[in-house]
Amino acid sequence: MTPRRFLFVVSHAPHRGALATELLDELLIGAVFEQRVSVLFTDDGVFQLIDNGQTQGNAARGYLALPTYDITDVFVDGRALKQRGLTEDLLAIPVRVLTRGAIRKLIARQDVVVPD
Amino acid sequence: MNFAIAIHGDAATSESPRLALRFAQSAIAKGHGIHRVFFYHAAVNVANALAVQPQDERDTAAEWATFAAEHGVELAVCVAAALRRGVLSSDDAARYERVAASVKAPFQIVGLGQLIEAAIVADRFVTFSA
Amino acid sequence: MASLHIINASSERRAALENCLRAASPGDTVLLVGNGVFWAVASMYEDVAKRASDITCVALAADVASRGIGHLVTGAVKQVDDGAFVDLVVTHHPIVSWS
Repeated sequence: MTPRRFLFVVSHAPHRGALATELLDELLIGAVFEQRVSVLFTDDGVFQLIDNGQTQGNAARGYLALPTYDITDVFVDGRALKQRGLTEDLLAIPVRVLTRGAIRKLIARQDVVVPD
Repeated sequence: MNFAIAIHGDAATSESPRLALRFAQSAIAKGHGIHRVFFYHAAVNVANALAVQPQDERDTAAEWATFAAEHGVELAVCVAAALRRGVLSSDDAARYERVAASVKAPFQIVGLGQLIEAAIVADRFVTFSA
Repeated sequence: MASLHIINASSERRAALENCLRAASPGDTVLLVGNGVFWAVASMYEDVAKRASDITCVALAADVASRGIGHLVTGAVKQVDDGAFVDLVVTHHPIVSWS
């Protein structure tokens, strides 16, 4: 069976109990099932990519594992970064910054979209 | 068409389990199939057998159970999310030395892989956010 | 195939709508469900219409009725029954939920 395109959309701030961890678990299992997994951080979701230097309550640490699972399609909404005064070099992992047009195309080509 | 449904919110704090139920009922009425309903995040609370609804309020969990029995639809509950929120199978209750099992029949405690599998197999994947 | 976007939050979580409209392509459909139907109230919908002239917006009639806002809903948003929700899922791909 051809792998499906799964996009996980992270739009909420971190520190909402287990929700960030549970989304990450979903995403990693998608990769274990050898699907074409990508993730888009938008809105306050971009704050999940800031490493607080601690092991507890740190969504960014979880996302450091993405390359281990061959997940390299990590996208960030450029407007969300700009609105928060963030730049790529402040994020825990390498990302590709997308314009609105690119975000629209990204969503349109998915089979499955999973929100956080 | 064959649908997979994911639910993220519980009945006490969100309308999503009820919206999903209405969708599922309409899908069946129109001759579609439901591959699996997956309860994730806070939605695992829907499967809590220990919850008691006041008599004048709708019992969403009971309605899901009735619907599942009538139409042979699988109600799957994520084990990791369920353990965090105290929804335990009898095996889990024994393993973690808790006083009682708390999952309501016919909800089944399963691994998260079942969510991904449903999304792979179904024609459409519909999420009901919290 | 066009995407179906589902919004279940009112303006108390304005970001759900904002994120949806940013990600929706021309020709997509936005379905308002649950408290999302409050966006269909005429004066609220002005905000949506300004930025979403190229998408179709519909609302679940049952959720409009259960909130008693039928008389306030704009004519620009068609009210549909739960069966039509199923039909929209069949005719759109992927299905994207925003909260």
